[in-house]
Amino acid sequence: MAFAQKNIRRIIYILCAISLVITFFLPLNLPIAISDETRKFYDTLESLEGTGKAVLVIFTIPPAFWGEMYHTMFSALQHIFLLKDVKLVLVPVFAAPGVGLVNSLLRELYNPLNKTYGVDYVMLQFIPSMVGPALAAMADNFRATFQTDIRGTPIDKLPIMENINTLDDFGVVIFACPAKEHPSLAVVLYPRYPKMTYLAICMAGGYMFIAPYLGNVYKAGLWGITMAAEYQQLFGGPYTAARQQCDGISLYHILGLLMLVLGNIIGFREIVKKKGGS
Amino acid sequence: MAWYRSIYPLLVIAWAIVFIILFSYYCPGTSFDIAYSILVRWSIIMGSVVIAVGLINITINSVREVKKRAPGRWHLAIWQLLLIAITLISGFAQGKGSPTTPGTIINWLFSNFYRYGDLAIFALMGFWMLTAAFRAFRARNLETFLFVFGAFFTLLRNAPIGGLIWRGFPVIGQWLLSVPYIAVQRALLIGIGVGILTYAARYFIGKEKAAFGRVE
Repeated sequence: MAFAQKNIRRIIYILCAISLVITFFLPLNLPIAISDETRKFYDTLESLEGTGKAVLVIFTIPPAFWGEMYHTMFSALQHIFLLKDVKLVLVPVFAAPGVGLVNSLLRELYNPLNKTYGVDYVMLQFIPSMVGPALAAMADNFRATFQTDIRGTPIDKLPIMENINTLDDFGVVIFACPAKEHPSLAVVLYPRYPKMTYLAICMAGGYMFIAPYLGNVYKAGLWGITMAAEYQQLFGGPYTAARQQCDGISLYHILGLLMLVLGNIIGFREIVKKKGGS
Repeated sequence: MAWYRSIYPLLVIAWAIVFIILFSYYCPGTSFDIAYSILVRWSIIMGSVVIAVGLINITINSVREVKKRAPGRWHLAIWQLLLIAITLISGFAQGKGSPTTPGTIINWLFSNFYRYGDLAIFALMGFWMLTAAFRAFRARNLETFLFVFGAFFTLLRNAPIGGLIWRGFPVIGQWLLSVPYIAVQRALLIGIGVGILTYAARYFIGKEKAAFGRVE
């Protein structure tokens, strides 16, 4: 007992590592129920099929959050690529490393799905300012905000940008950031384009930042790996990494609950002991 | 003190910017819209300038620490300067084009050092959170009990296994997140908004001198 109390942190770390690693070798394949929010996100994108509209994805993703954001971004972008006659325009803002991360994700997607850069999808030039001013510039004059794409090609030479001049030319705007930048869209973009359909992508912990705007500003949101797995299940995507990680998440959460309960039992015992009870 | 060294010229600039933004918002279609567009573009350009200022600042500070032989820090400052130099040189050596082009040194540095280093540091939080759940998350009174109660159901809502144990877990967890949580979060946001307005009012009557670089 004394040994356990002395080394409790080490024991917890080892248990945590085991709970995460074990599912790599022994996948549990637990069934995943599809939530209403995931379905709403899916239906919104699905409604664009055949309309010829483009989806604007504004993103700011530092590498620290990529482990979680990757799955939600992958699910949403893969779905957009699978939709017929739907284009994809990506705009990186604020966090420069996000450009490399999303580019690597696109490389995974466009080859197998046979998509052409500049025709089916494009990444416009990086906006280095804070999210608020970047969104304000796009709302003010979308076309004038960008001279080139991320590769330095003038946007007038990109076929995908032929009919895109303002934000109204997009079917849906998706804002992807880990957490705290989400209110910027509600404050800056939404008042100028209130009729636009907005979707949010964030980490599971980022829910607290999008929650007050869900249903009013954002039509739906996709947060966390569990929702990414639900999404994949919805459209039958060939990707299973999110699903595999859900097993790890389940075990980790169970361990977290055990720690919570165990910690409270021990804490309660200590209080009783101090009070002189039995 | 000379008038141009006081806070008043800065206050006038701040007032002018705020008036332009407010008028362009409430009176669309006027010439204030053009001024607003110019201001927005300036702020984007300033975003790039800020990065350059940050680079100069960090270089000056690191050089100063090396010169002073700051205990426990000077060797880290050398390491920092070295990394800045490597990143800058590899970026400039690539010339024009995207820094994310595969095969370039800057892309290699980003993909193999920065990306996974940052990710690994953040992933450590998973371990800390578990120890925190054991050592600190304890119901000592009614408030902390409610905290633990909320955490219990939210944990079971977030994990797919929660619904398998009992269908009610995700339902209760979702209700906690959609009703009491959003109510509190909205109240907080309104509170923050009122706080920002108060700060802005103090700022414009010159009470918030720190914003102008003056320390009282």
